[in-house]
Amino acid sequence: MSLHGSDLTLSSTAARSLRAAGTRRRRSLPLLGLLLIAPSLALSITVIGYPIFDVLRMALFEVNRFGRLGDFVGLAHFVDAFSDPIFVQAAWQTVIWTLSVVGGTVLISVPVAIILSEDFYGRMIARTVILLPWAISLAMTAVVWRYVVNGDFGTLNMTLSALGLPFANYPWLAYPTTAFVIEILVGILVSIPFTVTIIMGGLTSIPRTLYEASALDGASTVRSFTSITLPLLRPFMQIAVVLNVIYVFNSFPIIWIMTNGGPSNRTDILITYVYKQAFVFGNLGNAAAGSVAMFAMLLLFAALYLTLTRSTETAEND
Amino acid sequence: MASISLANISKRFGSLSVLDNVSIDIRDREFVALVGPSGCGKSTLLRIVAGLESISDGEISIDGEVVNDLGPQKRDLAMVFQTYALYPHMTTAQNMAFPLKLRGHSALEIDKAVGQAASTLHLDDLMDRLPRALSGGQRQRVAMGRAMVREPRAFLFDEPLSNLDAKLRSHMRLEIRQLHQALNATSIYVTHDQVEAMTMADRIVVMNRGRVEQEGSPIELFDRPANLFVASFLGSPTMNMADAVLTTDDEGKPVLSFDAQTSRIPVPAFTGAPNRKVIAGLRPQHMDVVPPDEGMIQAQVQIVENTGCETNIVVAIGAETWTVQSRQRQRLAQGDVIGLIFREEHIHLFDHGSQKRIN
Repeated sequence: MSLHGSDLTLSSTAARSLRAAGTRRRRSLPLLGLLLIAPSLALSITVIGYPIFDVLRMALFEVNRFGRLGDFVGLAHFVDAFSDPIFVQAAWQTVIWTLSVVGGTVLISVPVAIILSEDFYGRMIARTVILLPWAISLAMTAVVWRYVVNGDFGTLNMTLSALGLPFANYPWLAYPTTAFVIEILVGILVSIPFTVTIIMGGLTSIPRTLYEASALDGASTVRSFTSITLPLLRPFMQIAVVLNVIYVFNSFPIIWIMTNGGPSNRTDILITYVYKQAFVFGNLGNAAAGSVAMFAMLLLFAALYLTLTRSTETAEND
Repeated sequence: MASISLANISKRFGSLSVLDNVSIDIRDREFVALVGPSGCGKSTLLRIVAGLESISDGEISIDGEVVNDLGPQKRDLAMVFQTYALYPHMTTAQNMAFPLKLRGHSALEIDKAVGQAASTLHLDDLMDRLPRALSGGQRQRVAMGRAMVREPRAFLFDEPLSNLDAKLRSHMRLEIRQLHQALNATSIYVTHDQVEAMTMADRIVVMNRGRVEQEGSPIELFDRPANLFVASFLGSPTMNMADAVLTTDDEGKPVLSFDAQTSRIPVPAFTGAPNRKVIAGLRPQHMDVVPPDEGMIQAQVQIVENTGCETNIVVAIGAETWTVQSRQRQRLAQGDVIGLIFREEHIHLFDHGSQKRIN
């Protein structure tokens, strides 16, 4: 007992001296620390903060098409934007676009990642093929697919008619539904490499012995997947979903290059709407208000998503 | 509970032979330890029994039923892994309930079985914790609990204690042993630690390079190792070995002379053919330190290790280095010359060529 007691005193003394050292260090830290991070902080504020500030300013002031600011107009631009039926339509289309692309991507990426994690002949080649879309710029991919689905000389129609199907001159991008579906599919295609990479990372983090243990416990392959793989992949899926939502929500090139938001704004999403408002119609004020609204939506989504997932995690910890 | 029979099991990975014609019969309720150095194939053999590895040749049967083509799900065995393999997203209770849930037991039955196992293993206060909030010993217990709840036909242990510290290990050794006595379950226990094997098993199977070197009760293996490998693998400190020559004295009785020593040691009990080169083995515990002139052989002290209750004396006998373990406190210093005495029946003789036991 006495030994134990002396142990305790020793450790508490040690803790006290450690604490003291910590305080000393903390006291001398702020000034030097601030000094050290000042350059990068200044750079970040300039690069990230200034545009946000500028957009906010344009959203709240009268602004002409060359960006010259006039009088303060309060929320007038917001009222203008929100009362534009095309804005509302584009907003809904953005929701459909984001949900479909992210949902489709995750749905396809999980099985693909599982297959690519298995050991099979030619796995390296398969992995490379899956990751290839990543290496090509979005604009290039969109251009290529615009040619593929072209009604008159696209390879899609050529293939379909060669198979005897009646699609000789079907103008895929001329109809809003088919155009939007094709854009969503291209969106999924380009989001897969990133998502597969994240999920494959998640899969390698699951030890093999867990599957062996579950097999001995009596779990079938399907049950192992639902009871072990999926729950353990959850944090990785969360990352994939959050990042993909942000990327896809703001993704401009695919829609812009393939359909320009048409026909009749039926494939417009907010980012193409805002772009058109600013650089086609010269309504910089409306465009700025739309941008601010988009920024707010993403912020709200991220905050909501993070609190939801974090609270389930802490619930698990308790 | 079940008997497990392994008949002529071979396992090859390409041209590499991991298990070579291994046959072991494990009786109902027996606790068998598979022991051997790393890479001897003991873990592979256990995984074969579990159904996690296929076999290249041979037959595995449980209770007389051949299970070669049965998956691990269908063999009704439970395994405790070296890394515990607890499901990290499930609490202690969920981990233990998982095998029962898969079998479609009712919530009431599950609660009862899990509660019972938990109280046996003193896990009651930890039921809502995730594995990452448990210590190594607690995780080990949960892994055992998960194996226990469904009363499998047999338990398979794959080095379950090797990730624990020494004190906890000896404690868990005792607990597993007690558990085995209480559950009376057939158990196969893989370990590289000969102390675990000696203290826990009813029967030990010593493996080396994919083959069974010897099987028997711990005492049989300790007292009469069948070959040099088993002799040197079991026992701590390791058995002392020395080249020696077996000849006859003037009366035709067998005597042993060590290369380094002129004195001849009679081995009257030896009945094999004399006049041959042998390897003589003597356990460190079977020698006593005496003044030099009273010793059967003389030795020079090199290192004295005092462990408290025993003293390990490393000595040089000619070119050989031996260890002597003495229960007495020895006042010895490096360079001292001592005599060693031992009883003739404690000498293990192995053939110089085949390394097999000859006495």
